[in-house]
Amino acid sequence: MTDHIVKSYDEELRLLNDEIIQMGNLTESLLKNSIQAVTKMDKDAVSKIVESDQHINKFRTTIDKQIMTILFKRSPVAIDLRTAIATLKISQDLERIGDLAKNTAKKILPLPESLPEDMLKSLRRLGDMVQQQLKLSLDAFLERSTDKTIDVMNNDKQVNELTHSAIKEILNFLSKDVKNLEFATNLLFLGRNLERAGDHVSRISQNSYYLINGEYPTKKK
Amino acid sequence: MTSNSAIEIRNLNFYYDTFQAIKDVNMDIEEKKITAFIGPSGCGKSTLLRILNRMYDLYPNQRAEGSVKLYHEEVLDKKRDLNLLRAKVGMIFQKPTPFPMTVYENIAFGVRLYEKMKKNEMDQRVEWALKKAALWDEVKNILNRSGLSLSGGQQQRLCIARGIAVKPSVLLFDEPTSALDPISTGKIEELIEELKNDYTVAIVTHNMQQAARLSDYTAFMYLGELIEFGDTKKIFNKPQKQQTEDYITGRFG
Repeated sequence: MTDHIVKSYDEELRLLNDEIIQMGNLTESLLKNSIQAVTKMDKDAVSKIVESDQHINKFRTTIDKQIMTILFKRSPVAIDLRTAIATLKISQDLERIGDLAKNTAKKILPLPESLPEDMLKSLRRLGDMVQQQLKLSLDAFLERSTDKTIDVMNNDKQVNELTHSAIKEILNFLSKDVKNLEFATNLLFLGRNLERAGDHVSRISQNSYYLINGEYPTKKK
Repeated sequence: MTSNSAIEIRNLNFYYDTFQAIKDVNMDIEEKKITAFIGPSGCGKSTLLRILNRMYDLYPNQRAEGSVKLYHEEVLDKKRDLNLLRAKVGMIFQKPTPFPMTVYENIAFGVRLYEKMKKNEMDQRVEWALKKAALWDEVKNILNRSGLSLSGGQQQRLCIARGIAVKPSVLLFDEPTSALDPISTGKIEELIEELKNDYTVAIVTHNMQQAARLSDYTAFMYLGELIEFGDTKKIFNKPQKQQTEDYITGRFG
């Protein structure tokens, strides 16, 4: 892409791109830490996770302001307009992923140290999948790769399948002893949070697809 | 030609003496829609507009080749009655150009060239044209005052009324608001949008946002060629040609 005649416009778009990349990286590591905390039942990690989520929220505010400025100063059209709109929406999804990762980690606080290995394994599989999806989704955005956005959208089905099997394990754990009810409820929320994070990851790819192609994918490719 | 075309342009070339200003342009201008022409200075967009009502015939050594049909009739035909053509295809320029006459006469003068009518009929025509141009309420009590005494925005609407009064089918606007303040610009833009209910409109503008706001179709021209022509929403969201995208996003070197 050639440069704008107005250099400061390029600078504003470059800054915006830097911010969203940093926000993406931070969200990726927050999700990773959150999944690790769950699978290792590492309750000490939770406070750090809550703190990183606040950083992510700050990025969202900064990016909102940057885009607002670009809209009123530059009245962007075509690729610049699509960049502004897609980035605005992607930052919203990243912020939600941050929230969900934080809430996922917080759900472990009331849980006992030892939980059935199979259940933790299925949660790890789900978490790892969502994490891979986020990485692929951010790569798709950075590389402006339509193929990768389609991969992410197609993989969302797998995220849903892994969620179902994780939930099945949790219900199995519950059925063994009714005293597990409170723990199981937390675990169910935890699983749902990961699935919803997966939905936001998929939305990031939908918006990257729009950014590249000027239209939203009509159906799952 | 599609059934909704008012103007059909085929293999159009235009020369200022030896300089070729329009190169093999083909396009249809749809009836009762607004078509915007954008492109850098010297790209040929104003020239193209001036061909549509043979304005270039006023100057020596300028010639057009190819075909421009207005409702199936050849505009470039040497035998064509230019006065009638210019009544059918009106033009509004960048700077308002009222005649040094009263507001009333500014309208009536043009009408008398084409039609004979009684005083009360003319009164009705003047009122009708001024109402269509959204100027009546502001000038109905000062019809005998000079057209030059009006504000810039009012003068421009007077020129639009003058164009409408002779019952054209096409209105051409060449940078109609670039000499006006934002309030007058807003009024003219609103007026142009209303005019498309009755007339086919073509507008040349350097203001990209104006093209995006007003038009149904946008044509991007560069060095005399029509680079891209299509739905305005598509052009400003995802143009097909890189050159178009570079121009509208301000990346043109």
